[in-house]
Amino acid sequence: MSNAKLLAVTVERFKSFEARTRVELAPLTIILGRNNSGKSSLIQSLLLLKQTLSDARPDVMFKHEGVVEAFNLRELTFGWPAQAESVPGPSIVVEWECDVAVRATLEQPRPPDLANLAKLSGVPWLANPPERRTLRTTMSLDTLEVRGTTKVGSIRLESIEPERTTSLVITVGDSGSSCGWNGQSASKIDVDFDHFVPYLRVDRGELGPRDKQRAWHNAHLVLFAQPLQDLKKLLSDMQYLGSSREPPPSLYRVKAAPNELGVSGELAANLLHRREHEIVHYLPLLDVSTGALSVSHTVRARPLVDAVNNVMEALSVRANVRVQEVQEVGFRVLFGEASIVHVGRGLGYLLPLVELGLFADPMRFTGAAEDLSLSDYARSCGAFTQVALEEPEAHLHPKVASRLAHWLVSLAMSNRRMMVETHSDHLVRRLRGLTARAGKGSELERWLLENVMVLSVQQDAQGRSTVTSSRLTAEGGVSEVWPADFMDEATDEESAIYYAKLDKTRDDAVPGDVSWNDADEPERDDAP
Amino acid sequence: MIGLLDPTLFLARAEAEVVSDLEVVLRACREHNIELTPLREYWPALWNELGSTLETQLSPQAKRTLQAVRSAAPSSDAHIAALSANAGVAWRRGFTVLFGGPHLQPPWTDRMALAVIRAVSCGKPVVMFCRRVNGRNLVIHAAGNSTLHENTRWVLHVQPSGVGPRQVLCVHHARNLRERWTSRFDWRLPTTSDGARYPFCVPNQWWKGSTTAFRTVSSKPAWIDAHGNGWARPNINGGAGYHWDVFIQDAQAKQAIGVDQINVVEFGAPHSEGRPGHLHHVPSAKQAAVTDAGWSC
Repeated sequence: MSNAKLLAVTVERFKSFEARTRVELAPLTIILGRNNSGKSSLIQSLLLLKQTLSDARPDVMFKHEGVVEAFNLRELTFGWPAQAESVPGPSIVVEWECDVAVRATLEQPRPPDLANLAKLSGVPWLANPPERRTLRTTMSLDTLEVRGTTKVGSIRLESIEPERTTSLVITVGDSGSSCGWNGQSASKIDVDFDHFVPYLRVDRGELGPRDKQRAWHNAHLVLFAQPLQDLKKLLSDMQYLGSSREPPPSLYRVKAAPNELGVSGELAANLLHRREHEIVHYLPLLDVSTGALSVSHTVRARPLVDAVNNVMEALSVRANVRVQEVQEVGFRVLFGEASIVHVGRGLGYLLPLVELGLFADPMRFTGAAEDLSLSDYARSCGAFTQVALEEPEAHLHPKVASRLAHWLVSLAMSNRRMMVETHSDHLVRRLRGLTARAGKGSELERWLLENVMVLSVQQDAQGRSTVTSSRLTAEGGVSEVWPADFMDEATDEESAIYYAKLDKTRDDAVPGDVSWNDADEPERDDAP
Repeated sequence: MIGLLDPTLFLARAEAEVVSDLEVVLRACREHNIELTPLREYWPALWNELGSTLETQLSPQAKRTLQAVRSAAPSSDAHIAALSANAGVAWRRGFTVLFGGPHLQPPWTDRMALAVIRAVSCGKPVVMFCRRVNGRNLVIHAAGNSTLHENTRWVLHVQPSGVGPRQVLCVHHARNLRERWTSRFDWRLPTTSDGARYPFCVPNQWWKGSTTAFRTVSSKPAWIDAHGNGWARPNINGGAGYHWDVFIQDAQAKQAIGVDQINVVEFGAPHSEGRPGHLHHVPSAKQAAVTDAGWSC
């Protein structure tokens, strides 16, 4: 119940990002930019951490094989530096927020002297620890390649509060790791790692009860140990769906229920098969069919297959998806009576997308089939799922691509935090349209203005990427940078067609001649 | 109602001004169900010669407004009968002032006259959306810390063949369509329809050139209402004063209100400034005398 969520990611020397670049992550973050501008790199920075955590060997601190595949670290480093004894690699900083059980942590195994703890750790509020506290934390990983081997050189943790920042820096060397608390050496604190997540240990027999390093360790249990566990879970549970799909087989083999849908959605059919009747929760799509925008405040609890069909229909795709068992052989996924192999490719693309949104429900496959109010749902969840989508509009009709905006908003309103890389002006235009159409000062308008972030990624002639972050405006605009060659291609082409039509149909011979009257204008008694 | 567009709306200038002028058109069309009929007498030339050039000079956001104006027009003008060879008569002065230059090339005078005649011929009310340009259809009078924007062209006169003489209102603000007299007077003058306690009472036959619209009162250029009161707009931070200085001429009114000059909230002022046509503020020296009696038209 920590309500942990990613707030920002910062990259430096990472792929096309040379300079340190921080982007805030909103509940719905839309990433725009030309091909090869660096959009995907932002998502990849998180995927690198996720794939590292998924490695079976905990001593792997930074893994560049998997969804993000690189021959060596230098391939991920800005400018593709040449091999050398030691080459600085990318830095990745994640920033997140979570609720921490402060008092319970400090009571185990034996309550410390709180006044002493607060004084020595430099964290005054630990003198009067609250039951729970929301902490904002950053973790900075600095990578390097030493003699061809990828390493993490240092890990910097910061607990950020308005008045002060508490830091814990761990330097990873060949002969072991050392750490420092707010710039002071903590030589009696040992560090173990689970991938890049540090675990601090002290020998309490060696440190007196009022020793400052003991205080730092106790403070670390509150400030960093719990948040790091939340970060691990956030990144491990992060859901990602790329823009490509594998051709579906006509018959699927039965497999165990997957924990993810796969980067190409290749496990979507298996998930549907194994979890068909289990409950997922989702907020129905925003409805504009009646002209006015209506937002549901009820989170539906439905069996997965029903939820998929409901969402598909709201996206204007009437498909009636179902699973058909083929005894002792496997199963088929049917749209109506047609196998997934024989329906339009768009449906095969859309199904994993819809399933992913439902699967990202933090309460998936738990609870009864009872609808919940949005606030009750948020309270019951106590967690957010980070979701990253690449070009969700691929192969979709413009109308469906527009409606995707409704789906993304509904997901982001119900404990999914969405990062969406897109080239779809339909999708983005609809997001702007929803904001413009939302009643002035309405709850929906406020939500959209506060919770949708538009990241515009540009790359200069030297191959350096930069990001500009914008919010939507109440009038349906974009606050900072209008991605001109993105949203205006269609309308500019309409203008070009219009002017060309005028040229082709030009008819200078307009009938009629006017007779000019040079006299004074009449003073008529009737009003104009 | 048919709306026609002044070609100077499409001339290059500060982008914010272009957008603001075109938004007036769009808002008026929405609120008053006005159709921007693409009459072939002027519409293709409007877009080919002016609109296309303007579009290349606008930012993507501003282009949207221009494109919205274009999209507001139906696809054809076929529902309006074409003109016969002898289309009708147009009084030259108004058309020359608006469309004869120096801002526009000569064909525009004929084009606009034919467009107006054709629009009027179909029997529907017609308005011309005009851009106000100083020295063209606008004269600015400034004296005594007050400024008056005199609209010099608020009507065009035509007589289509087989139809009687007609006047076409030239509008520059959405309020001109609700309160047509504001096409000549200042649209910020509050009146009875605003629930004003001190309304600007519109002079009879306000549209006639012979009707006095303004004169100098207490050394300030002031609009003159039906009671002879002078309404002057003080220069406070570029118009942020939100009120009119009203100089009361009628002796009875002076006596009833207790003073000969009051400050009245203008139409369009923020709510925090008070209701349009009510007292904006009373200087402390006058507070004892003012009765807030109001007047009617």
